[in-house]
Amino acid sequence: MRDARLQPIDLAGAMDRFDGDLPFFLEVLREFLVLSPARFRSIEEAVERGDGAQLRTITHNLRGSAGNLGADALSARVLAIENMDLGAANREAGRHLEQLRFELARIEAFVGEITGEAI
Amino acid sequence: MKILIAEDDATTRKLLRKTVEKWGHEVVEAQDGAEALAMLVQSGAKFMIVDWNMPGVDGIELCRRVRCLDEMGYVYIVLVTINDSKEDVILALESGADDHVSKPFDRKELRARVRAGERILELERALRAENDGLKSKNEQLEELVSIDPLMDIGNRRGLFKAIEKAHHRYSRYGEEYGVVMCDIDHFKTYNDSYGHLAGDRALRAVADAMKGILRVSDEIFRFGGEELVLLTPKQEPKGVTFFAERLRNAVEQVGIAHEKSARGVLTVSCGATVTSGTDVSSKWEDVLQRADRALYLAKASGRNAVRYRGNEAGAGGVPPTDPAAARGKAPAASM
Ligand SMILES: [Mg+2]
Repeated sequence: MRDARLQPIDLAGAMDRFDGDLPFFLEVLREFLVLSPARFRSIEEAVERGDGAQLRTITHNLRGSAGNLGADALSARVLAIENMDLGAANREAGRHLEQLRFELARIEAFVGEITGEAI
Repeated sequence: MKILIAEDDATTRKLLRKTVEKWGHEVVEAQDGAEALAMLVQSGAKFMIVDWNMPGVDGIELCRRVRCLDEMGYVYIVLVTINDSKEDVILALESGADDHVSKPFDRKELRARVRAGERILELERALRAENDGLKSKNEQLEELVSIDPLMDIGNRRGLFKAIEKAHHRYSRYGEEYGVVMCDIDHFKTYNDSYGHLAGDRALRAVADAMKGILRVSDEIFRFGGEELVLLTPKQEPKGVTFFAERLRNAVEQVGIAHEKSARGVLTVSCGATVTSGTDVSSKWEDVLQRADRALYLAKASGRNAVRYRGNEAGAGGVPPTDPAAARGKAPAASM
């Protein structure tokens, strides 16, 4: 099961975008980790309000930054939410957000592994 | 070069900034389309990397608005988008984007696209400079084609432009102008006797003699062959007749030998007129034609003479100054 799952970060792809600058990559990735919980909450709120446009703006941005950071698994989860109709998203909001938080935790662990420090 | 990055997502904005700065570009940032538009005008950036999805004015609307700013010169726009279906790309290009890059972006691809845009902006700059150069050359040419190179005075084309302007001022503001049409007497005979080179020198000497008595506001043109036309502002019939007489006299005083003319020197006949009455509603061609008619009368009176013809039929305005008549000489046999 673990093998079938996407890696939390595609480091090779990300390093190419960051021109091999690991410290800068980690700096941006840490900021992303800090900003993400608030973005998840915004997704939740947009789904509750039934605000499709707002939801799309948030998921687009989230997918954009996650994609640039090589956070492909998280990006795939966000795309799944984006592709759902609002009714389905509302019914399953709890499960989706749990999955997003799970992916975020994996990324945090990944950063810890790389840097050898707890964050 | 200065690059404006419009991107609402902080993470992507930071990555884009650092990436582009590494390539040696200066970066200006905006967090949405409206801010980008203001920053563009303020910073004078010519290159933009624009995110499609932004709150308020999004990337597509931003492209459209940038294309409406015509005082900016060309701005090259790369749209960065996660929407990369064929329809999306077409919409992006039709909104005014020059190029697009999909998110997550490929660094090498983005760099190549930035370079391509830079080349286009350089070409545009070079073309614009060349265009400005051509414009000023055109102005110089425009001036040159209005000048008669032999007599070094305005030509027929220059006359038509000037008289049209003068006539407009008259019709609109009532500013009268006078026209004197002059023709060198027996010039064909002069050319036959002394040769065409001497004829050219004589033409130049006649023009120079006339220029010598002009006021700054008077204008002189070669109408064709050995005919000249002078425009003079705000003249009464008496004034323009006196002006024509001075022109006639100036040429006679140069004393260019012409054995076959009655006076033994080269002379001119002049027809004069000024605008009045119904000229307001008629054309400048009518005024010019009246001067031509007066010139005919001067020729008919025996040459080396001045005749005036006013607008009102039959009204001569003032008695013509006619030295030949005054001296009691018979008119020459031919015109
Ligand atoms: Mg965005």
